[in-house]
Amino acid sequence: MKASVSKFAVVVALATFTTALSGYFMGLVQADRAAEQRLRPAEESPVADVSTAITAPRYADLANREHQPNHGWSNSLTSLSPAVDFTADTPPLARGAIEALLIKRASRRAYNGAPPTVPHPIDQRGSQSCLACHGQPTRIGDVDVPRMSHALYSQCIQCHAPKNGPGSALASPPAEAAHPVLANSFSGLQPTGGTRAYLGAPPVMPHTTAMRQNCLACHGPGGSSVIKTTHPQRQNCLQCHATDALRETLPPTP
Amino acid sequence: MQRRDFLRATALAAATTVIARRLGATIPEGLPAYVAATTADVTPDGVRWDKAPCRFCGTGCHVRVGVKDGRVVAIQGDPAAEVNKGLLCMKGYHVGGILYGKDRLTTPQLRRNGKLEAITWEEAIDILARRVMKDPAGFGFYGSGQWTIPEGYAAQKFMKAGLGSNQIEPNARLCMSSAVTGYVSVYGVDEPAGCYDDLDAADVVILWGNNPAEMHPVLWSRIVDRRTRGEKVVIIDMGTRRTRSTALADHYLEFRPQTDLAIANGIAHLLLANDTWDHDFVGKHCNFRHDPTGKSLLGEAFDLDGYRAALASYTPEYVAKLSGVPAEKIRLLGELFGRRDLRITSLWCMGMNQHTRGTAINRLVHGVHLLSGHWGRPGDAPTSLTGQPSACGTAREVGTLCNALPGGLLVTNAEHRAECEELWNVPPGRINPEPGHHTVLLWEKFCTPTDKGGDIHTIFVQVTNPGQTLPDLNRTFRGKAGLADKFLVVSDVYPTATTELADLVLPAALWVEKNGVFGNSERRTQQWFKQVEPPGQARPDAWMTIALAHRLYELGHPGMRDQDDRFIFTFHDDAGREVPAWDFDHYYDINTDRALFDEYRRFTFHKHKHVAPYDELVKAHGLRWPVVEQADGTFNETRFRFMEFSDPFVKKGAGIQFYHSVTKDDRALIWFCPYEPATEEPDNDYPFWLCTGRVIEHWHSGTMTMRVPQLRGSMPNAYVEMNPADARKLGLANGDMAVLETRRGRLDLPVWIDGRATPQRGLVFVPFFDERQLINTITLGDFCPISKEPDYKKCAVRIRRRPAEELRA
Repeated sequence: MKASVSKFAVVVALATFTTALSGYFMGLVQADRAAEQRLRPAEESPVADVSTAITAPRYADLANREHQPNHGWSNSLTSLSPAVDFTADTPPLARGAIEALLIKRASRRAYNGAPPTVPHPIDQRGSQSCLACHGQPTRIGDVDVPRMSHALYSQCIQCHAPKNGPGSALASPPAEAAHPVLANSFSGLQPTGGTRAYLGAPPVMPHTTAMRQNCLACHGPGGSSVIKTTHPQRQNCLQCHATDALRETLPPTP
Repeated sequence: MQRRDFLRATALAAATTVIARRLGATIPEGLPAYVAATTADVTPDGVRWDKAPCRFCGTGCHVRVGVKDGRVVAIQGDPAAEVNKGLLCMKGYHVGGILYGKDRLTTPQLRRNGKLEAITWEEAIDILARRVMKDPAGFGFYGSGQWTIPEGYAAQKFMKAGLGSNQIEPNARLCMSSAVTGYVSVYGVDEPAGCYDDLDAADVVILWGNNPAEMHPVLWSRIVDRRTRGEKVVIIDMGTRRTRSTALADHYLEFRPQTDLAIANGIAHLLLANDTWDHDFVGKHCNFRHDPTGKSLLGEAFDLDGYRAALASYTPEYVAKLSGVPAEKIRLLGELFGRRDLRITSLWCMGMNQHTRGTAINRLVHGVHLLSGHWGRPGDAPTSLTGQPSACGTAREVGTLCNALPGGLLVTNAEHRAECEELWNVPPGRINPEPGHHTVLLWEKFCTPTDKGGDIHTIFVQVTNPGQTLPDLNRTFRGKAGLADKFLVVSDVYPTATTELADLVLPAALWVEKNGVFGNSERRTQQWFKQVEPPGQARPDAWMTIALAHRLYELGHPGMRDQDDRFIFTFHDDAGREVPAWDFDHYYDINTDRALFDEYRRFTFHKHKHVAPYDELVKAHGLRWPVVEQADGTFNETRFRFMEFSDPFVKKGAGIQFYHSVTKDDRALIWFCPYEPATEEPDNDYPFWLCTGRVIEHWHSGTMTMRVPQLRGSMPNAYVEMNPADARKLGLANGDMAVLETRRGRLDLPVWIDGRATPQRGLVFVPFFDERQLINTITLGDFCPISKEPDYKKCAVRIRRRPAEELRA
């Protein structure tokens, strides 16, 4: 009796894990590939029938298993070998690279300071899984995952909207064709560089610190960000870089 | 990076640059001179930042609006606002985008031979005025909880003091009138006693058919972020579907639709059975009440024995049988309410209000709080949330309803009428003592041919979209098509399902394109100034009403004059000169918002709803009424009403005093209301429940948010959500098209399983934001007999898979 209960528990746990893991990987593949998937209710189309689904590994094999497709996933400090030499200054990016990164950045937010949209499918119901990648420095293959620049709030999806919505599950071509996307001429504020007192002086922060308390989330080393620091060896940002009170949104004084 | 260092650095820098900030805050060209520089700052990038409440829900977050070169370019959560403390939701962060949809309405248009053609404002106002002049009694004004307070007040005065007509309703009838009848029948006066501070103090938060994670996200994060700080808060989600809120709840009590009444009675039953009700609180502060007719607002006196007998059958087992919630979970609720060491806050919104038993369930939830003594301490509160930014401020407080006068007064009360006539300086008898048509009836009459009793010939719609949001649209709205003598006038910012049938379309200024005042869910009145120019000829709704009134004045309508023979909307500048605000060239010569608001303010004293003077609101991020002047000339807001420690109107030493008590003895009423089945329950022909509602991305009918790429990208179209087991049985998978049929019509929708939420078996959910897929063509028009609020959450529907070859109906 006891053995059968524990066996049952293992089966349930495995089934749960399989579903969770495959769902997790599914979420990570390209949005358009995900869009081709027509998710069926579980009983009708078991996970094994979906040709692209990943076979879940046994718990025993997990430690040595090479993960796919995000086999490059890494968030441990030892395996995160820095792409830069922490002891030396790093050269700034080339102009073309800067432009490409700025365009990419602008495509993911309505204006400078808006919560970025989410470029990948998400769990529609909760935020618990967001922190697995966005909570600490994480790299998946050659993609550096953006870290939270602000303190932890429990409801990530309160502010961050998925860019491509629910994907194919809700595509309704006839209605969409009859009423195409309604154009909008909103033009958001774009980032500007910081001012500095003289050549070589540390720039003053060109943005507010609200929602940007964690400098290294955007300016940290190794990132693909256009605004990464050239001197990652220095940790105390506010020692040299002054906040700009003129930009801070403080309550007006009476 | 040390937060303390950062704060210190910021504070130091701020202190030295305050003067510079003030100098930088100039008034941009085009904005009126009275726009106080004191509310705005200019940052080095040339962006001018000013305060405004968010345009969307009833939470009432403050945003800082970044304006550059005359256009909104950025939004920030306002760190100085108590409501949201610097945080917003995805709608709030993108609220600036709503102004810039490419298809903004920019000129008045008249329908000629089926086509809308541009006309001038003068022509438009004249056409409307002549329709009203011909038969004032058949003219209806339909506004909303998105009206600013001055806009709603102007419409209210125009109708009740001017035309002597009560045919004015807000869309808020469709969303919160059951909360109003609940508060009025329990406390004798409308609106919550508590405020959002309760959410910081509660040990237990109970959601009664409420999904704040999507509907009031900032309040939700205010609750759940307490856990991040190490505080303990138990969340009990009572609902009919698993939602984002359920994901963070400790207990999920899934009940069969309509049985929330049985659960509330079950709690009261247990409090009595276990003798854990608060004898002291009830003995001092409560009377019992019941309503044998089921239709009476104030009911009849009752006593404890009668109350006990009426509740006798609501045992946990009986409630479990009705509701599907296990008896032990009912006992859990009964035990929680029986504990005085915990503070319990109940939250609800449309789940309880859009209910054919809406008034009854509101009374019962207040009742379990009163009976258990979970009332009167911060964190112990029954609190209704509102869905619109000024449903409280404009619909409830200004009283833009067919039965109400400003400040909680009633048209049926002779004293109230006399008081209002005096304040408005109009002759005695000007105000009509007969209530007008409530919303559903108003539109039914409009859609009925005149010779068949359809006594409403013209409706002027402002700031709302009834063509998408009325229930059972084919009957309540579409019926207008083909009735040649009916005339629909719509003021809006974009083409909508309502403008499709409009005869006259008026382009409106939106949000920070005009001055405004909103009133949020916690009695907080919030003011903002115009910050950008509206596009083309778009103008504020308050101006439209004043211009219409003045045209009628010119045409000789006697109601447009007061007792001194002056136009009822006469404004003066600081020098005492008359300002012709009806002439748009002079509308912004003075702050008409300030004049209208301070005029309205006088009406709020009668029921102790003292709103703050306009100039005090300019300085604040909203103030919670009653806002009472102190001996030193300053004004204090009130966080908790009827409680001596906070409310200045409570008699010293009373502790708690319900000073507008129905029974005139300073006591609140504990009601008994029985559970009764819904008016249309699932049966063999229509075996499913249909529930409708909102999603986090879209606000109401999506007119604004569907034009914001980030929000539309996140949620592009409506869907039908169903339980996986039901879907399997029907052979439906994600993305399949389902046919939904009710007794009123058919709608085809794509299926989404285990997506945003999962309904219980036997229930499907459809959001109503999508104007291409109007779910309200098939919803039910039945309403609560007391509040007249329709039930959008429950009707019977049948569902089948749409065969591939079948064309869309």
